[in-house]
Amino acid sequence: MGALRSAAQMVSYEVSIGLILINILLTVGSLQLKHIVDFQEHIWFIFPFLPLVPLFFISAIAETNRPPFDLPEAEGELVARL
Amino acid sequence: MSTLTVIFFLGGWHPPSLSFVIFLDILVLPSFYNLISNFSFFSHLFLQNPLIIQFNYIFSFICIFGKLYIRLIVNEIINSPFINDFPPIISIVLNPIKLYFILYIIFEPYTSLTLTDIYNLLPFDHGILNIIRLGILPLILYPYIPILFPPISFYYIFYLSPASIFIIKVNLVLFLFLTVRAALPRYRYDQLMRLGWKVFLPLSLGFVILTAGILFSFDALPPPK
Repeated sequence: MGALRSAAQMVSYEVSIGLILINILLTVGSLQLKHIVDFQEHIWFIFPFLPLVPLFFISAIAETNRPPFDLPEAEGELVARL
Repeated sequence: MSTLTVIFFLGGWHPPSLSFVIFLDILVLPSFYNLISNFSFFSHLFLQNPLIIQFNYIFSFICIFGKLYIRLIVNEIINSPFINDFPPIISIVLNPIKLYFILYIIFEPYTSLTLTDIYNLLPFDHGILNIIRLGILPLILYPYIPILFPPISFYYIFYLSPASIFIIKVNLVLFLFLTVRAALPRYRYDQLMRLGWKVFLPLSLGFVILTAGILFSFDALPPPK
């Protein structure tokens, strides 16, 4: 069950991470790291994409399955017959 | 220090609770990056050139089996590679080599956590290429570059090189990451799923459309290659 929960969590947050990355790729027009880095010479992507940063950060934490998103490991705290 | 060494030192073998995807991110992407210097899909196709495919195989074997070999050594010296089984090894007699492996085992999750943070910074950051291309040694030297090579300026003590700014950013994200881990209570699982599917997914989808719309209306879409 823990593996299933972990997989479901990873899948659901992988989607939003991918969509956030699509914003960056859409702006740069390239997948090459050099182009992405060179594109930020005048302004960092943090500023135009400011609302995306917390989304990406929270999704990243959820992707790592660490606290506060470590439900797959916290068997004893699962209640209400999910 | 080569990228391979950095992989050995920073990208540890992850506990099985982490997914195969992160394993791929940490192990395979830097090795491919070392081979072809970018993440372009067509350059990966170039790796299948018969002239270089042998080197490709050799490099993959070095990466994967080298890490397996380290893990086998760790398995040999103490019984379990995971930090959960740390208490039994308190009783063994310490010598420097064992101490090295014990420290490796204790700090391994945190080193890979740091690497995860760098990867999280990747799309928002300016200076990761220096680490991947030059290895870890410049990263250690970076905060001291303004001291070792001071710029000719009256205000040189206020100078922050881009690399120092990068260090500050990594540390900031690391601090945030660890603070969130330490301070916030757990999310309930149904709330977790709700947040993922009903909040984050529509928001990020909407942002894709918004970004595309803004770029389109200002005629700022990148030209097709």
